[in-house]
Amino acid sequence: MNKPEVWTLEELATFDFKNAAIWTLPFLRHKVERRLSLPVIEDNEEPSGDLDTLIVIGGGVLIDRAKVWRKENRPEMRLIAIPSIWGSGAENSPIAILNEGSKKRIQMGIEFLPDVRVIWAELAEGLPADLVKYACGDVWAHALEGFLSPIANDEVRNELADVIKSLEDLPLENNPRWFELSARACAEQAQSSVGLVHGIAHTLEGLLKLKYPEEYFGHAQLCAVYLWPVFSLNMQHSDKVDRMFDLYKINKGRVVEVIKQLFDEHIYDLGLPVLEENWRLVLREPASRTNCVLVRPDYLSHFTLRRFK
Amino acid sequence: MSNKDKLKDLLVEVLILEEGEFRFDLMREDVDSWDSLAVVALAVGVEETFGYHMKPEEALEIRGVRDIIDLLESKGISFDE
Repeated sequence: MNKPEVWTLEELATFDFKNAAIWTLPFLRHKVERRLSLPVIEDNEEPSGDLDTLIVIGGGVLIDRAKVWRKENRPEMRLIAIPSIWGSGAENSPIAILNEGSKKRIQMGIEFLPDVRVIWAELAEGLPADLVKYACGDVWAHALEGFLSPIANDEVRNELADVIKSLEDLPLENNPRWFELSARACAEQAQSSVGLVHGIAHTLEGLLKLKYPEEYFGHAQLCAVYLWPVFSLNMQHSDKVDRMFDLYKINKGRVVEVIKQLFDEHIYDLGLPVLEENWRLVLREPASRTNCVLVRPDYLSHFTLRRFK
Repeated sequence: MSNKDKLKDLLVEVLILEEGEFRFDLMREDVDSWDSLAVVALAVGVEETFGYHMKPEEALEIRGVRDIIDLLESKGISFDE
């Protein structure tokens, strides 16, 4: 599989760029300008069409915007992706997801893979603890759903089993190790698929934002919150989780212990009526259709009756 | 429940069919929702329902309901009523 080159921050800072710019978020600007001497464009602007290198620094949303912008405007341009937080793994993935109203448009192809990625751990320092925890949940969701995917091959499963074993002992808090594990998890799940956790997150995110505009909802948060309920559904309806975990020597008890910590009762309570109203949409969501266990209409009761408790 | 009924229920769920849309002579081209994702879901569902793990090449060769029955019957799963 093609993968981006990995540069250090030092290599990036000392590289002799001819015509490059940085596309980043306003709250990162001061950190970026302290370290890199290149023109900065904020996320409410568009890059210019004559760049030979674009360095995108931000979350998965901005990185995916840059991927799509490059494809549509300047396919020959070098794209360097630097995540400000782990989770999406967008810097290491040939998938680009754009939010269009309450829906997501998912595109996949080699043209969406950045040329270079860089880990800049300092960018994640100072982020709120709950956002950090949600990001950890996104990594877990990619690793577990990619591992259990019916489309995964042995190579993908071996790699993701290794990622999962590394995640087991990593606290759900700020630690630079999350960046690399996130990149690996996302790269592998891009070669298999995701499952019902992502099916629910993709369906509900836009709808929850409309219904509760005063609350925060995000993809990583929803993946974190629904991971344990979905994992328990998968375990209750198939022996596949047990078989795969035994085969790859993954400690199921430890995994369950960790992912239960990601569950949030308040967010789950807000989401439940929306999940019930839109269960049919969840069933039709592409990610749901590649879940490791067939998602049947009557499985809604697993969520409404909280059978994961 | 007979294996025929189980297969019908499975396909109604996987293909998200309305009541009355299912037929045992349904072909893939008759159903918009019988796409590549449905092939994956179908393989998962067949394993859960009938205990048979389809190889990828077998799943890709399925062109209609009859092919699924023929495949499973060749593995010793009977669809006689």
